[in-house]
Amino acid sequence: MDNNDQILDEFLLEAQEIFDQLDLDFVALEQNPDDKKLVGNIFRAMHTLKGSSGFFAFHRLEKVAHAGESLLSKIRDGVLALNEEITDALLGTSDRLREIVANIQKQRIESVGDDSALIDWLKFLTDGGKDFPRPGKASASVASPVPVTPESNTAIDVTPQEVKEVLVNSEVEYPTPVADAPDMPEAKDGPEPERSTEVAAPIKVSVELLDKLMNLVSEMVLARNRLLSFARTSGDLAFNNTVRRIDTVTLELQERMMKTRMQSISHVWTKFPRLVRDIAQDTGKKVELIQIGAETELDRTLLEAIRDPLVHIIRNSVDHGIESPSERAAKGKSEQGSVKLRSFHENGMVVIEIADDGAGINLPLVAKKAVEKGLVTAERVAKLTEREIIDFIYLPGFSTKDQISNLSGRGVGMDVVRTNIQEIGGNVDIATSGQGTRLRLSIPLTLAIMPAVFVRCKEHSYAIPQVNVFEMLRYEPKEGVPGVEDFYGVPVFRLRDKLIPLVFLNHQLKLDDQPSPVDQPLNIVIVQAAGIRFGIVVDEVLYMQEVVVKSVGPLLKGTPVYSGSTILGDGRVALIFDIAAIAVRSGIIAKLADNQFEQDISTAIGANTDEQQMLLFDLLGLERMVVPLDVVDRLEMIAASKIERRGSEAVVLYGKKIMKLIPLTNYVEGATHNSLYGDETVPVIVHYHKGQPVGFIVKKVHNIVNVPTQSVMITQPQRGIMGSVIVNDSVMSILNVQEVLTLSGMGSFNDPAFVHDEEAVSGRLSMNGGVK
Amino acid sequence: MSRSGAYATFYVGNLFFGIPIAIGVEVTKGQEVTPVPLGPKEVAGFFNLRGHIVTAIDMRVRLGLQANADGPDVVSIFFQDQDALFALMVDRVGDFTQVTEATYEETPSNLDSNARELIVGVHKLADKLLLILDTQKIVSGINLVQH
Repeated sequence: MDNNDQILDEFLLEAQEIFDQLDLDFVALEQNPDDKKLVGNIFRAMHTLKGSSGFFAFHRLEKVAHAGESLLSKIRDGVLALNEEITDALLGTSDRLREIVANIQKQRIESVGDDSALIDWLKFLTDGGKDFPRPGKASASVASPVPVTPESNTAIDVTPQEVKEVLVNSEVEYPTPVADAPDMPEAKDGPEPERSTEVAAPIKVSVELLDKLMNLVSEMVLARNRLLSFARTSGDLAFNNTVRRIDTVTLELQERMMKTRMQSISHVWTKFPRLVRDIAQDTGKKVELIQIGAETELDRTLLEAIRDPLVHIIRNSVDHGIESPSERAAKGKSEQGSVKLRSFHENGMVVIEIADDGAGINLPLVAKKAVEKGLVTAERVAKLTEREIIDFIYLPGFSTKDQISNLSGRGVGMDVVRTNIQEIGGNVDIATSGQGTRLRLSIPLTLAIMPAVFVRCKEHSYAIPQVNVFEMLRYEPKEGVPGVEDFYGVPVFRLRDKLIPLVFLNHQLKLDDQPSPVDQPLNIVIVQAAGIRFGIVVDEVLYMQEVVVKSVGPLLKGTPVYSGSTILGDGRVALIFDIAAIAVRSGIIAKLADNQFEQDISTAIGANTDEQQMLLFDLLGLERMVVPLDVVDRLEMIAASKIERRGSEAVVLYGKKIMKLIPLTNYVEGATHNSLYGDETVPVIVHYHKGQPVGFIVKKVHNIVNVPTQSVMITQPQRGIMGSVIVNDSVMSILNVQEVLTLSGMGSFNDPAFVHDEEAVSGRLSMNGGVK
Repeated sequence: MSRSGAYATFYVGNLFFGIPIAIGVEVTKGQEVTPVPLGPKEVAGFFNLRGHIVTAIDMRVRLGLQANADGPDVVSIFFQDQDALFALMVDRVGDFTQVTEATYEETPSNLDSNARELIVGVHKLADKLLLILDTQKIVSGINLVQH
């Protein structure tokens, strides 16, 4: 980077700061139109910009800034009073300047453009005019430049006096920087000491330098660790004292270094007063923004990540939340609504609250929309708790607004907010009432350091981010206690009566060809990613530790299993898993996403007790059959060659018993009778009947679906089918296990072994009450 | 790439290679490499160099040579490519060698296609041939998605 480039970069950086300060000052000025100090600040900011742009020969920037400055000088001198039109014009000026600077940033040169309309307007106001004929609001005139009319052709119709001013400026400001270019920043800072807000100018340090220092400190910590182990074995007192001193200094150095990555949240918040003002203006509302705890610090990278979600939430609050002044008056609230931003530290997390005193979320409307969109049945929605209804607004595409405004209503919003926040290991919580809505974002202090669980797989250790870890357990196989079972090729584990799919790490990482045998003790880490809970089988769970996260470099872009790496205490490198990627890679997420029935809202909003789990399977010629899961004891793939005939029956040796195989197609109405074992292996649902295994031959087994009990209904009795359920607009037939068993000569309805099953099935069916 | 200059040299198998020291080269020994399951086969793993994560590339695999019976050698040569640090795991490190344009020759066209992509030219030294490697291509040519 050459010298000029550097100076330009510094100018751009400074311009950015000036704009941020301008936004704040303008809004403050509107509330206190008589504050001469504020006007002075704004005037000086414009002036600084103008001076710098003159040095770089950015003529557009210079002209626009000059016109704005002229208007401001009139206000500062008390010739003109601030009114809404002037504020709009000044904000427009600020926007235009920002736009020009943004272009310079991209192209390194000033882009061509026409600012004469804006300059004319400013000029008109400077001359004491009112109600300049403009095409729309300030923002509109910025967005679309007005065609140049003949009379406004001359860019600045400067009066002789103003020309003199420019000349005077050029004499005072320009020569110094031009003569001594490297000193430019200092020269530009000339007017700065007058700024009332700044106390001492902090030094700007590039992020790369900080990162480098951070690395050096980490390295020093490692060197210190080795030194400490020497000290333990050494009897030299002076040496030990020196080592102890190095130890404490290193610790402090590390802590201070971490602090340099932190920035106060006000860096993000500075943009919000302007944002709130603009939205309030557009929607005709009166809104005040209160900021508490702007000094709360969090990691720089996290600040970036929360910027967009916060903007979205604040837009929502002002656009949806706060009522119009008349509505508010009718409700007995003050006409001016408020949005309160509050941020503080809590339990090692940064909490950001966004509270408005608006109408709150219209829960009945949310519920109604959810029903309209077919996300939930009308009967079901009546039973949902407030929290469950609120959860609907996180679903993609969900909006209660009928009209799409440019502010909100597209339905891409809260799901993105929640995803973004969850990506950085945080979470979102909403509370709402007629007095307002409060969103609470909890965010980890830093991404650079996070707690992780270290596990061993073969001879290497790996880290699992602790946010993903739910629990860790050791499974010891015992006789008669179901542990790890084979669920149609997927090993599953029964954890407190829930089936948790297992991923064997050694197999998943292709370190072993086969998963570990399941008949020996297993160490299982239960993790959750993308809403799916599953277990990772590891060789050993080692320890938990805070780790400094580092990137894995460009060569692992095609290997998304790792989210980063970290350096261990002994100097070795350990890889950090991306649990969501492992879930995808192992097929757990894909398997579930493949099946549209899992999109059922009941799974999206969490488990519900009014549901029954059923196994979805196909028969030849009849798809989407379900059978209650409590009838299913195992799933097997049986080789056709092993199936033997015993009289008219088909049997297979199953463990030490003989299992009778029942081709379901023969007993279910609508299925195609066909040759049974054309394939090499046959999928079989195993059901224990009076202690004897019975296998139902099916065509294909899919997965488990959660069936809301309310949607179960009895259809016309058909052979082998006891009723239907509707899940996500798909009709599925429920297999009548008893009837099939009776028809195949296996048992009767009155069989004691059946009582349980019968109750389980028909008991639930009767809830629906009657034939549809 | 300039044809004369100083090169860091090393051996992989019986081949003698050089990379320009102008890109910033450093040699270390005895690094403990953490392997990357599922990663590209050329990537031997990661290790830590003064707090930086270094991606180690197994040059035998990269050059399509027979894997060393003892696994990749512990000697590695570092260099920086854009923001990331890389290390080449090689069999043996040679001297820093200064060469002039007089000894330079283009890559023979009958060279193996994989090698021709990586080798930009050859210097005829008194006793052997010095093959000049393009470090950028060593990194960029690695197929990221492995099956």
